[in-house]
Amino acid sequence: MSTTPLKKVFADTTGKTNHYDEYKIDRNDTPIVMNLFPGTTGQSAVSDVIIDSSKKGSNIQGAISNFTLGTGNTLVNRFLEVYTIITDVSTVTNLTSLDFSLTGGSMPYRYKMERTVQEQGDSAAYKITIFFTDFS
Amino acid sequence: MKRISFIVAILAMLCLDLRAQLNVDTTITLDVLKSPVSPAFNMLGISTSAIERPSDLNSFRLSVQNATNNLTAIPNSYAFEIAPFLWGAKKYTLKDFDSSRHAFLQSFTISAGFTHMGPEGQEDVDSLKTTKVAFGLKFSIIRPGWSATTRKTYWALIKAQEDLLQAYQVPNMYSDSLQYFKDLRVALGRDTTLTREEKRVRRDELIRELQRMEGLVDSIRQEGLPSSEPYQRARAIAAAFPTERKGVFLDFTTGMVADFPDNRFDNSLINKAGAWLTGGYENGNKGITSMFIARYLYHPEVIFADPAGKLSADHASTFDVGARFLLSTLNDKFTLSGEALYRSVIGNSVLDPSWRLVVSTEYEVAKNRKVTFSFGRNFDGAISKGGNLIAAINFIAGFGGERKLR
Repeated sequence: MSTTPLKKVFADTTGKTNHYDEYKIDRNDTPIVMNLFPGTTGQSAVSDVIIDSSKKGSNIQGAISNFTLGTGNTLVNRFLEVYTIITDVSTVTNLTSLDFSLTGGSMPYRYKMERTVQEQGDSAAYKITIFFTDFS
Repeated sequence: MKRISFIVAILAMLCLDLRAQLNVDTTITLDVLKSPVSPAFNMLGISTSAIERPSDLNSFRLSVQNATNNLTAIPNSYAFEIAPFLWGAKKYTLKDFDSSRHAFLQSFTISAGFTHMGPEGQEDVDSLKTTKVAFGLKFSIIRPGWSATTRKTYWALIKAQEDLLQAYQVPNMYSDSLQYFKDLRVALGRDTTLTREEKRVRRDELIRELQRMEGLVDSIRQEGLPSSEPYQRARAIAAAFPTERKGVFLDFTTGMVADFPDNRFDNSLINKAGAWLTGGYENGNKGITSMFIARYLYHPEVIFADPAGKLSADHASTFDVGARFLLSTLNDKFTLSGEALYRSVIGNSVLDPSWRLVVSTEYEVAKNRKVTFSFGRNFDGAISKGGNLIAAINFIAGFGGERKLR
């Protein structure tokens, strides 16, 4: 079985595709809402949204808008994982990107990642992990 | 053998004779009315390879910086084409292009450019240099959705991406360690025994560990993806993704060139201008396909209604309209096509408006045997149909191989 050396993977593509962070929420009934915009324009994307190993959304195509993950009460001390595959279909650019945001906590949260793939048709795999905490 | 050659020769002569009787020009000339890809630049005379097409604001800034040598010099020419609504915060993924909903914003294109040079052959003579500025717009008013072929390809791509998404989530040698730190983080969140400061220090340590472990798990996952079957499948589909559309469409294109003859911005004149409205029904050359074009040109290169060149193109305005339809049915055995063209010079009494009409039909009665019929009226009013219907019918037969006649 042939494998691609790590060094080559990083040489072929540029940009971070993995992110871990914590998001401060309050224990109340305020809904925690997620938005995810895969890019750039013209690329094809599929995502899974998982909370503590349980799928909240499976094989979601394209952008995810106003996706309610739960409330502050139900999400505290739990992990959100978002897996996204973006395939370069656009003939204009080889750039892929992920624009992730959360609202409903103590402050709005936003994180953006980008990766330029080497060749037309290549895919980039992104993962975002968020731990919901009420501790600041 | 000699007898066969003789028969073939006689039949060939008969076919030629029938062809001669049928004096209808069925050449499709609607293409002459088509809007250019970049009207502003065509009028300005800038080659398409010299046009900058930045895909976002940053690349546009870099392009301007390069052209102006870091804003220290004015280039002899510069041209750009941008889709400003694709630069905004709103991103459109591939599936957003399968409808008319965002057609205007997605297709809206601005092109602009200028040249500061002398006439042809003396481009660098300073005393002869004049400035010309061009501006163009393009957008779709109605855009059809994807064809069945494109939609099928899209779903094949989505399936490959879904399989790749599953492959990306497969646990690896670091997954258990990552889960261990995640469990620790949850336990810390629930802990009520530690002081606030102790919790803060422990939390910061765990965040660093979790970031490190997430990175390790991800790097192993990323390593295996490019050689996986779904990755290669997605790549093969995406690299050759066809964007075919089927349905009613309506596009608008316009462009103009302003001339500054003495290089003063308070003294300009519209040098050339044009507007194109193109509509119809796109059907991938199956069933009914139709198209119409309405074109207005000011100071055209060639006046379509005046091929003999009786009029000067200076300050002339022309209005041309063309329409074409194609019906292909019975497994492409029967085709009926027609084309009409109207051409005129506005505000001119030397040349009257004129029109042309061609209708042709074709039926494949057997392999390599076609019956065709054409009827036409030329711009000069002459009707060409060969005198009567029987004479106008043209029977074409192929001999020898089974190669399809075209």
